[in-house]
Amino acid sequence: MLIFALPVLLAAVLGTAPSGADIYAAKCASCHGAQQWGSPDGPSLHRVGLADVDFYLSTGRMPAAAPWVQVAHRDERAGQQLPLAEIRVLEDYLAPVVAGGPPLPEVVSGNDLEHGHQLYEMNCQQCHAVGGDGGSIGRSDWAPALHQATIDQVADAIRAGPGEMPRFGERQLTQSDLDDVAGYVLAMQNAQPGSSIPSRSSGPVPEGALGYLAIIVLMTFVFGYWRHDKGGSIK
Amino acid sequence: MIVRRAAGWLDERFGTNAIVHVTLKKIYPDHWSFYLGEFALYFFLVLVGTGIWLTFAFDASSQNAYASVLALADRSHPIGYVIRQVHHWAAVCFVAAILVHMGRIFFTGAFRRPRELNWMIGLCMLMLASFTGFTGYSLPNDGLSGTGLRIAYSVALSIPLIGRWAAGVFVGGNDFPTPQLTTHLYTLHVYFLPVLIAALLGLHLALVIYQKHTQFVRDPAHVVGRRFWPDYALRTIAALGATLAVLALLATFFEINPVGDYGPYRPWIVMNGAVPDWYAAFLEGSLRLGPATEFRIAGHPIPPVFWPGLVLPTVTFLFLLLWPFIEARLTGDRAPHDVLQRTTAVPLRVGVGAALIFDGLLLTIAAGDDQTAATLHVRLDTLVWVYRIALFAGPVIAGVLAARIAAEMRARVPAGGEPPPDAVLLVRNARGGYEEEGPQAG
Amino acid sequence: MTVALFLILTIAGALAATAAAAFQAPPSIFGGGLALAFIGLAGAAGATASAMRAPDDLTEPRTARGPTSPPPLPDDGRVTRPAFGGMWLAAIGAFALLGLVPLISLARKPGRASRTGWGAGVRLVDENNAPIPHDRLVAGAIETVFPQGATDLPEAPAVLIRGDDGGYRAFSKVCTHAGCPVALYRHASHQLICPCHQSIFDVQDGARNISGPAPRPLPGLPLDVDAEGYLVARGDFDAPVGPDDWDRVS
Repeated sequence: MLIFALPVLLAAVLGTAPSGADIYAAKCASCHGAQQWGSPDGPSLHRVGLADVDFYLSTGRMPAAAPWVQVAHRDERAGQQLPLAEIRVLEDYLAPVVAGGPPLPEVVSGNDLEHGHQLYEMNCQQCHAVGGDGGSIGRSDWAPALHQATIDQVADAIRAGPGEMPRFGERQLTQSDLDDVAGYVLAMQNAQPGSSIPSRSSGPVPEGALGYLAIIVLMTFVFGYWRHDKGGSIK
Repeated sequence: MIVRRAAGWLDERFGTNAIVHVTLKKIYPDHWSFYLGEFALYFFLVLVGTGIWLTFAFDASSQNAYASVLALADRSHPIGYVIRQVHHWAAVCFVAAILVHMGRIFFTGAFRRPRELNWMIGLCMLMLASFTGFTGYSLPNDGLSGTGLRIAYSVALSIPLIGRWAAGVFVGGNDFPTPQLTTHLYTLHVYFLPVLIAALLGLHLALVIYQKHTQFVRDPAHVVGRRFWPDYALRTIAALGATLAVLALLATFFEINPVGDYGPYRPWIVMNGAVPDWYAAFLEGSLRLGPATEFRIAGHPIPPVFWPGLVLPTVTFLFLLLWPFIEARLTGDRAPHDVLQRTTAVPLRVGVGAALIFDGLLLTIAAGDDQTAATLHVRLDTLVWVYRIALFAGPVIAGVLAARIAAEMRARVPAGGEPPPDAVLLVRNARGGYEEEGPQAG
Repeated sequence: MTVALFLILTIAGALAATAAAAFQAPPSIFGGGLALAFIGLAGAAGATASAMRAPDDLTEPRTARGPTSPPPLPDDGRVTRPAFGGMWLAAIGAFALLGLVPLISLARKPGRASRTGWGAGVRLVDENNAPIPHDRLVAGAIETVFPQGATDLPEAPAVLIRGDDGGYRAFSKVCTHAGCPVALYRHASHQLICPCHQSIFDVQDGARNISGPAPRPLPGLPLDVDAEGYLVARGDFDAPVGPDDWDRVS
C-alpha cells in the first residue's frame, strides 16, 4: 500500500502536484483494481460515465473509508473529501476509461420553479421526500437529504443514477427539465420559512409531539396554580 | 349595574333569576386534573370558531380547494395564516387533550356506576374527533392527505359484504378520487361530524352537572369544592386564556401542515415518509405490521388491510366502550361511586391501562418504522418482526408489571398509618446499628 | 398588584394584535400579540381567583340517584293487549327495515369503476400526453406512463422500467395493498417499493411481492413497439389493479 502512496507523498514533499495516475494508485486502486476493472472490494469503473465519478468524488463518498460501506449509510460521508484540484486531475485521468456512460452534465439553475416542483414531485420525492429531507428506501438504506447538494452534484446524480438511484437520460429529462428540477432543489435549500416563523414542520409526528407538549404546559400551569392555592399540600 | 338590570329584564319575562342563582352558587370539586376536560372543551370551541371563519375562505370544490388553502398559507395575509394555523394546532391538541382526560377518568375510576354512559359518550367523541380531524386535514386535497384518503378508501373497501357500499358512502362516489370528493368531505367535516360532537358534548356536560362531578375528598354524601361564581368561573376563564395563549404561541412559532410543499393530490404521485396526523398514526403502524395474507371465503377476498385497519381499532374501541361493565364484573364492584380512587386502588385496571398504552405507543412508533430502521442501521423486515412480537408480548409484560407494581404500592403503609401485624420493623439502636423488631424478627 | 399587571398585559397584547392586523404585519407579530393578550387574560383570571382565597371545601348534598318508583307509565291493558302489542312492534320493525333504504341508497353498490384504459395497441404516454419512443429511457430508468386517451382513470397509471439489462417492463403503479403509487425504484436491486407501508416487488420476477404487507404481485402490462417506434401495450393488465374487495371474486 505504501508503495502506491509513495509517489503521492514524494510529490507532496517535492511540491509538485500528484498526477491522476498517482492519485488513482494511492487512493482508488486497492478497491477498484489497478486497471479499473474492479475487485471483490469495489466495482469496475469501465463505462460508468464521468457524471458518476464526479458525483462520488465531489460529495466525498469516494475514496471510501472501507469497501461497500458508505453507500448504504444515511448521509454519512464515510469517505475522504479530496481537494477539488485532485478531483479534476483524477477525472481527467479516468475520462477515457469511464467513457460510454453519462458524461459530465451541463446545468444552470432554471427559472421555472413551478415546473421544477412538478418534476420533483413526479421523479424525486418518492425517495427524497418533500423538502429534500431524504428518506428510507427499504432494508436499512437511505435516500440522502438534498440540503447541502451543489447544483453540479444534483445534475450528476440525475444523469448517472448512483447506487440504487434511477438514471434519467436526456430523452426522459431534457436539458431544460434538468435545469428546472436542479433549480427547484436549490430553491428548497434556500427556502427560509420567512423571518416571521422560526421553525417549519418536519411532518405530522413532530407536530403531534408538540401537541402533547402543549397539554403538558397547560397542565403545569394549572397544577402550579392549584398547588399555590392549596397552600402547597395535597389533601 | 348593567348586569343587574339586564338580569332583571330577563327575569320579568322568563323567570330566570332562580335558575341563574342555582347555577352560580353550585359547588364543583376542585383538582388540577379536572381541568383536562375543560382544555378539551376549549380546544373544541376554538375549532368551531376558527372553523366558521375558514368556511368563508375555503373553496370546497375539488379543483379549487388546494388553491384556496394555499392562499391561506400565504404569510403575507397574516390573519388567515394565523387562523388556519390555530385551527390545525387546535385539532392536534384537541385529540391529545381528550386522550389525557380519558386517561384521568380511567385511572381514577370516574367511569364507574352511575357514570358508565358518560364514559361511552366520551369515547364516541374521541372517535368523532379523530374522524373530524382526518376529514379536515384532507380538505386541502394536497399530496399528503390525499395519499391517506386513498389508504382509508382501501380499508373501507376491505369490509366483507358491504365494502363497496361503505367506501362509496365515505368518498361520496364510485371510485377514488371522485370529482366531488372534497365537497363530500367538506359536508362531513363542517356539518355532520361537528354537529354530532356538539350534541354529544352537550349531553356529556349535562350529565356531569346532573350527576355531579366526582371528587377525591372522601365524603360520599356531599359534593366538596368551590363555588362556581366567582371562584370557579375565574379559574375556568384562566384555563381558557391559557388554552388560547398556548395555541397562539404554537401558531406563532411552529408552522404546521405546509400544504404548499405537498403539492396538489395526484393519484400517481407519492412522497417518502408519508404518515397521517399523529392521532391516526397507530393505524398507519398497524397497517405496516399487518400480515400479507389475503383470505378468501367462497372466492370472496378479504384484503389484508381489513385486520389491522378495521378489526383492530373496532375491537379496541368496543373493549374500551364496555370497560366499565367488564371491570365491574371482574372486580365484583357494582356499587355506585362518587368518590375517585387513587390510581393504584385497582391493580387490574392499571394493568389493562398500561397494556393499552403500550400497544398504542408501539403502533404509533411503528408508523415510522422505515425511518427507525434506517437510523438504527437494522433491516426493515427484521424490525417489523420485532414490532410484531412486541405487539403481542409487550402488553402482557407491561400489564402484568404495572399491575404488580400497583398492587405493591397499594399495600404500602401510608404515613402515620399502622403497619400490618406481620411486619418486621427496622429500628436504629443507640450504637448506630440496626435491629429488627416485631413478631417475625430474628 | 399582579392582577393589574396581567390586565395591562392583556390590553397591550390585544391592542398590539389589532394593530398588527391593521398594518399587515407578519403573522408572528399578530400571533405574538394574541399570545400576550391571552397570557394576560389567563394570568389576570388566575391571580384574581387566587387572591380571593375562597374556601375550597364548601359542601352541598349529593342526591342519591337510584331507581325511582312507581314505574313511569300507568298500566293500561287496553293499549297493550298481547296481539296488538306484538303487531305494533312488528310495524316499528318494518319501518326500521324501510329506513335502511335511504341509507343504502347513499352509495350504489356496483361501485368500483375498475376501468384501466389499457388494451391492445394503446400507446403509452407521459403526463404531458406525449407518446413514448422506444429509446426514451436509458438502462436503469423509470417513468410513470398512462394509456393514451385515458390519462385520468384512477387505475390507469403504470410504471415503465428499463432494467439494467436494457429490457423494458411495465407494471401497474397502484399498490395491491392499499392503493398508494408504487414509485420507489431501486435499479441495482431491481426492486419496486411502495413508500406507504414498504411493500417490495421484484421487477425481474413479474413484480412479485417479496416483502411487506402487499398480498399480490403488481399486475404486469405487456409491451410492444409499434410501427413508428413508440411503445404500446399488447393488452390490459394481466391481473386486477390495486387492492381487492369482497366483490372481486376470482
